[in-house]
Amino acid sequence: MSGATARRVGRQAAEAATGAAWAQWISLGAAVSSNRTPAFRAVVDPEALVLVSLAMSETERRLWDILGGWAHEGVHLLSVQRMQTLAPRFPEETRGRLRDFARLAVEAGDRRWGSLARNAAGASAAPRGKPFGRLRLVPGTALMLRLRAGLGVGSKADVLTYLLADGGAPRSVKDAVFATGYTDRAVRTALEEMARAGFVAQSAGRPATYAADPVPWSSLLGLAVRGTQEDRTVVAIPRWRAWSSVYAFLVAASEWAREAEVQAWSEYVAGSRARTLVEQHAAPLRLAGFGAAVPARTTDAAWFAALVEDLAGWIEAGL
Amino acid sequence: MPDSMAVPQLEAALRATGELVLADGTGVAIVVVGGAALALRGFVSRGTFDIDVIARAEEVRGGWTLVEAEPMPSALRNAVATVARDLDLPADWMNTVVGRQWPQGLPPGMLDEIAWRDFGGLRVGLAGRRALIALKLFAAADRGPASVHVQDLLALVPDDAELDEAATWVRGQDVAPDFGALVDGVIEHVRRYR
Repeated sequence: MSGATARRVGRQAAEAATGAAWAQWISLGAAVSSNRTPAFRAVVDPEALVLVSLAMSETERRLWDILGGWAHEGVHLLSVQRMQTLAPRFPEETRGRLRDFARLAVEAGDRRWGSLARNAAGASAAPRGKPFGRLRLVPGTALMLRLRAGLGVGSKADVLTYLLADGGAPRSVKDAVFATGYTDRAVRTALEEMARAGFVAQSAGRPATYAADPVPWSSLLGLAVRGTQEDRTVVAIPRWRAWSSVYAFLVAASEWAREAEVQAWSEYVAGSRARTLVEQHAAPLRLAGFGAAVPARTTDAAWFAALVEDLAGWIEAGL
Repeated sequence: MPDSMAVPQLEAALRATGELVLADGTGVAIVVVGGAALALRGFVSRGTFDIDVIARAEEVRGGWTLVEAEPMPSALRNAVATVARDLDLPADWMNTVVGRQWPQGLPPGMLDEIAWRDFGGLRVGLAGRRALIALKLFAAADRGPASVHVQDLLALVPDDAELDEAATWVRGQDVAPDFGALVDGVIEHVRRYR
């Protein structure tokens, strides 16, 4: 295959991943400058953000610096359990860096990361000691972290974030499991207890669905009410995006491009490996709202380059 | 899914398989008989539904030796499945059903007449004329005069010496009392219409 195609796919995937990551870090208050980062308007998924930052830190060195600062400033608001659930979606190299990040978290005083840090290889570059900046929890984009700060780090805060940011529509346990990455049991328990407490409403149907009314919650959280549409109040709670699925795919596409070039895959092998990759990620991407179709006959990788370009555009439009 | 594969499709499928095997960091050699071998050697122009692998080949001290087709190396098995998916071919587009012939023995001199073609990490041995005549005669006697095997045998235009040599091997494959008569019937048919 021509190295140009692989390089183009790799560059687009990396730019889409790092662009979204920078936008999210900046929305959380990271003290970094970027002249190519659009404003971020969706909900930040903190574990997905850490994982993609770890994945891209080899080529984007400043992401390690941000993570080093985050280990002091915001790591207490991360869920170790959720991080371990989402990490297998990323390459082994990323999981190795996660262990190094866990060691930074332990060094910063958060003992929850101890078991993960135990096997840290210390292979990642050391952060250059730059402070994170000033963590901002009030903007809507930080809703997940904010609810964790208020309700405690765990499935309840995250499931509630999902229900609110998904527009208040009724969602099943299965939907919430996919979105948050917690176990079926953890999500079910969280939803049932929140329904008993009146935080969310439970439907009578089967399977049961749950909804959180964004109007009173946005009022409680001080998120601006922008106006009304007919008789409905429109609230400024940001959108939910399945960032872990999107990031995992972009990192995999980046890895595909690197291997295609290093191993000088033929046009066909590159296309075939891309098809395998897309088939592995198609279901989570579809649930995230992006349809990733593969051609009926795969003889080259041109279609994959077009797909990654479409996804990059879709991400930018939904930031 | 295509009805049958002509030479360009056969070559494309073999090339794709060989590229996957090569990307897997390995190499495999197979020996092909049947319609695919006939088409790829230019003996017939008809398409074929599958590629029949009768044996594998291994390099031993600088020369090739034939070994039983099964078990197929995992790199080849995976590549065949992937090519079926990618090129919209049936799952068994390359199979080793004919490889069950191995315990009864292959036609004599088979290795000597093989024409080798390389497709990336896949080396394909195309059976030679004598082996193809023997195997087609066997299949024609087994399946009857209306089968495609008789047509293939006619396309090969075997001479009397080739038919006699093939018949000697084929008769040894089945000791049923009426099998010899079936072989004779096919030979008579071929002699009349070749």
